[in-house]
Amino acid sequence: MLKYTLKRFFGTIPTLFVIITLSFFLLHAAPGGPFDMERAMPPQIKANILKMYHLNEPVWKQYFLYLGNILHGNFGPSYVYRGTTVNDLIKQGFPVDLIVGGFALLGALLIGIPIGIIAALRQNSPWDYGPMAAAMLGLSIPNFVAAPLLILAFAVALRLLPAGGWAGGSPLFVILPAVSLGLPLIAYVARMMRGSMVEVLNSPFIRTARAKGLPEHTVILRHALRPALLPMVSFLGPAVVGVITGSIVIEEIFGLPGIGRFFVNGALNRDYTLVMGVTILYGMLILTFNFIADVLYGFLDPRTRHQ
Amino acid sequence: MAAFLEIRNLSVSFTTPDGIVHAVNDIDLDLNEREVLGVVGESGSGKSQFWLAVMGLLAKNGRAEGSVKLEGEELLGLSHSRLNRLRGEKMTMIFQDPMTALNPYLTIGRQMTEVLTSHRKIKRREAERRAIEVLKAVHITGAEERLGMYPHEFSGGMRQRVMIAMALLADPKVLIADEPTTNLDVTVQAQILALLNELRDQFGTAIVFVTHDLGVIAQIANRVVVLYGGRTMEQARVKDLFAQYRHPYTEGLLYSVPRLDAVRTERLVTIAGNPPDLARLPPGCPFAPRCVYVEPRCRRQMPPLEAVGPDHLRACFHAGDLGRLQAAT
Repeated sequence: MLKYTLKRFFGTIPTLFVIITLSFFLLHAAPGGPFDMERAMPPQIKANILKMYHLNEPVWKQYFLYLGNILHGNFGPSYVYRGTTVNDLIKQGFPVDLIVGGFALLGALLIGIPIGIIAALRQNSPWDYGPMAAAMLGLSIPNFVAAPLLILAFAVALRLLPAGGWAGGSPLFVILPAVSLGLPLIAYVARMMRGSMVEVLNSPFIRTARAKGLPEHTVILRHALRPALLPMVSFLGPAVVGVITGSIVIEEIFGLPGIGRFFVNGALNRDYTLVMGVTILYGMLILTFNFIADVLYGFLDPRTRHQ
Repeated sequence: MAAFLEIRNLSVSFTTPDGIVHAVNDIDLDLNEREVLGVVGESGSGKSQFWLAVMGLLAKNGRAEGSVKLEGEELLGLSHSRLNRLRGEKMTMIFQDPMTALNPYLTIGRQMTEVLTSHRKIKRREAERRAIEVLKAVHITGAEERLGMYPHEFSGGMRQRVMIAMALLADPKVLIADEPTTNLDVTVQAQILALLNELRDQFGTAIVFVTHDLGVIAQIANRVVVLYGGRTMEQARVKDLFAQYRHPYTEGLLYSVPRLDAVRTERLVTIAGNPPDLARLPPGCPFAPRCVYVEPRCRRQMPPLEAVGPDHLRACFHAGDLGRLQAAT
């Protein structure tokens, strides 16, 4: 198991390296630069600025310079947000995304999994049709529609929750963004859980368990649950991606100080270091969660463990 | 020998989008203690569904009607908890594919001991000791270490041995084996058959052996039931069935088995036509459309099951001798 874990861990490093390299060169291949303004600045000044940020060097030289910096954990200065480093911006914004996304994902798993299991056990009954129809609805409503509706209901009409803002992450301000982000996710998780549970319940080893005369709760909890949860574990990696990319819209609607807006603005302004920093952060996040999912998978499935 | 399992008028039907499928139609059958009953039929004969219905393991869209009495207790419509007490303890079933019939996520030891711990007030230790005993009885070496292993660490034949050991753990009165050797190679198949024979003597368990392979039946069974289209065609002691079969379908089955001792003919005899569509069964004998001895009334009316010798029943109107297939070869 340790060997398997280590193997998986070291497998992520080359991937991260590829992400860094590809995005670096793609970004620099895009036309324009961070200091190309509509109004041309005096060539002398521009040359000085470019020199300061080493932008006058050949791209490959910039690349190795950058690689050296990030190996020291330094993502460099932001070109557009003057006087702040990318590290500062991430340190400021990332916890916001982490809290909102984390609660959305946790809530989706805690609510979606039981709904899916119940629907599978009560297949083709109101307990199945009801939640699955609701899930379909939840999936079809994009969060830029759901979020304003939630604001209307809970902030404007009922005056229970704030309509936006962050207030340093006080719990009341987290609820609505997390719910809007989590709603489609609950639906997705519930549908997926139902599907895998139905499949497992039809497998031969469940029939064997019943033929042995095991009580139904043992059949479900001991024999069916673990294999049914496996697809959920593999889903964990992509789910994190979904939560983060989805959060850009949510941040905008609720006016959250997350990093989503830095990502978008950074890309528009050719703020090389900022975009690279956020990209690497997202990449690392995805790799980390895929790594966790892999290890969990190995823990749950003895066949992976032995290979 | 008293029949401890009495099945009367058992019918099994499934509600499907194509209509109601009648997999088993009105079958009577007795099972005696310690006997090995062979149940033969091709795919769609209802042989598996019949026994799944007896075990209460039909799929959700399946429905069983009639009566199944185990030592006088009616099983159909029994509560889940009572049925669970009987399953594993009195009757148990093993399946065709030992690769998928064991749970890949639990150790063999766990899967075996849970049979005992869920039925009896018994300590885990004690259950493990018993599991090791039964693994030894099915000739698995190093049983103590094997308990901690997962199914994927065993070969196909070994897994079927584990399945059999698991089934025998609680000393059931009947073991229903649904094509247990079909996916195994011939050598392993012979070993499993020998093992089942041995265990029947050792544990005194009656065995129901469901198969499409008459060769296997000849090796293991005392008595045979031949099913077709969800009905009993013929039922006899095994030696009588092979020597003096009285049903055209049995004849077809026997002649479609490749034989080493027979004169080599160019082609293997097959039964012409296809198995019946169980959603649209003809009103008379289900075998009539494929039968070389067919008479007009066969298509209108199902022939009754009648005695043609000691312990020998058949359902056929044909009065004369059989043997046309033999003449054809």
